[in-house]
Amino acid sequence: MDPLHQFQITPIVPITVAGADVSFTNSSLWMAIAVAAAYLLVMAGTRQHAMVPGRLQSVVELTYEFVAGILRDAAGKEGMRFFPIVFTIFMFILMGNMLGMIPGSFTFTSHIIVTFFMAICVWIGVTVIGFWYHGPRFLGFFVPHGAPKFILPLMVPIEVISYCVRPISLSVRLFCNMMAGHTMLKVFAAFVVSLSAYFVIPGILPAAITVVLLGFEFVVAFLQAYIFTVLTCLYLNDAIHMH
Amino acid sequence: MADDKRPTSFEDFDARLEKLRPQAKAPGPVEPEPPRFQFGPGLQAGIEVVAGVGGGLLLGWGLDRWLGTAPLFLIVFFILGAAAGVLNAYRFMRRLQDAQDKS
Repeated sequence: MDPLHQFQITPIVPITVAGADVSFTNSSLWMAIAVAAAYLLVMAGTRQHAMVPGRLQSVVELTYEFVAGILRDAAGKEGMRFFPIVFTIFMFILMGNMLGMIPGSFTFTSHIIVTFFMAICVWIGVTVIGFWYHGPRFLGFFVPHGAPKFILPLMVPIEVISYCVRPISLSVRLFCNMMAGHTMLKVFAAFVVSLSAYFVIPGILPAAITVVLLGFEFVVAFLQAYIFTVLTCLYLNDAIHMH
Repeated sequence: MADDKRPTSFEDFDARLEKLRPQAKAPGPVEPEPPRFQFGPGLQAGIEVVAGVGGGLLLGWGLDRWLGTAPLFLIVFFILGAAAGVLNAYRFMRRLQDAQDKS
């Protein structure tokens, strides 16, 4: 009945390397399933190369076009060379969120360490790309356009901090939305059981709310994958085109 | 094979479309456009502010611990972090608007 029980990490294959716990947990298992599901979907969809796509091929082509559209809109043509990583991020988060909607499964995106690691990888990658494209001139990114000279000592630290907290907001957004949604779902679902223990009728109300929340949760699952991808693309755009 | 049938079906379609048109245009007051793509943008932007303040505090606290300058950097980075958070929130909303205008 504990609504937070779903976030518990339980080791499946306990492994310790040099005192550090690197067990294969339920989180790792669902990550592996997410990767396998994404891989199988894309592989099965692109197997036939039909001129008129079937259902599965349509799904894969639409996903491809969708992510390519986001990246092209945000970062332009130069951004397209980073398409593989952006598509990977999108598929991984989408699969994680959607597989998490299966009852009894584990939502690995509801753990801050998972989302934070992804966000910090994106952030470091984008910073490296920025310096790779522009060299030391990338530091000019922190000097806002057209600001008066005397205000720069204040503006530059603010810009630097606003750049440095990007991975925090990126990861907290995904983690918060997934964790809050799933907890709420479990809380209302628990109401159904505890109310129905006495009468059948009162249990219908929280059950109806749970159904609505479930639909809402699917929207959130997709939207958070979308937002993470869009923000990754926008950060890429900052690195490639600076202002 | 189906070519000779096409024109008649097109004409038929046009005729039916013409018939329906005045009705479709009839509604007088302009209905407000349905909100596009709402997902609590305020809440999403709020996370930016929280991250800014939190990140600033963490940075300041770390610097203080390292340099032993009691609350100096904590206060300075709290203020800078809050400013950065608001800046990020503003940019998030503006980007959202840009994206919506484009589509």
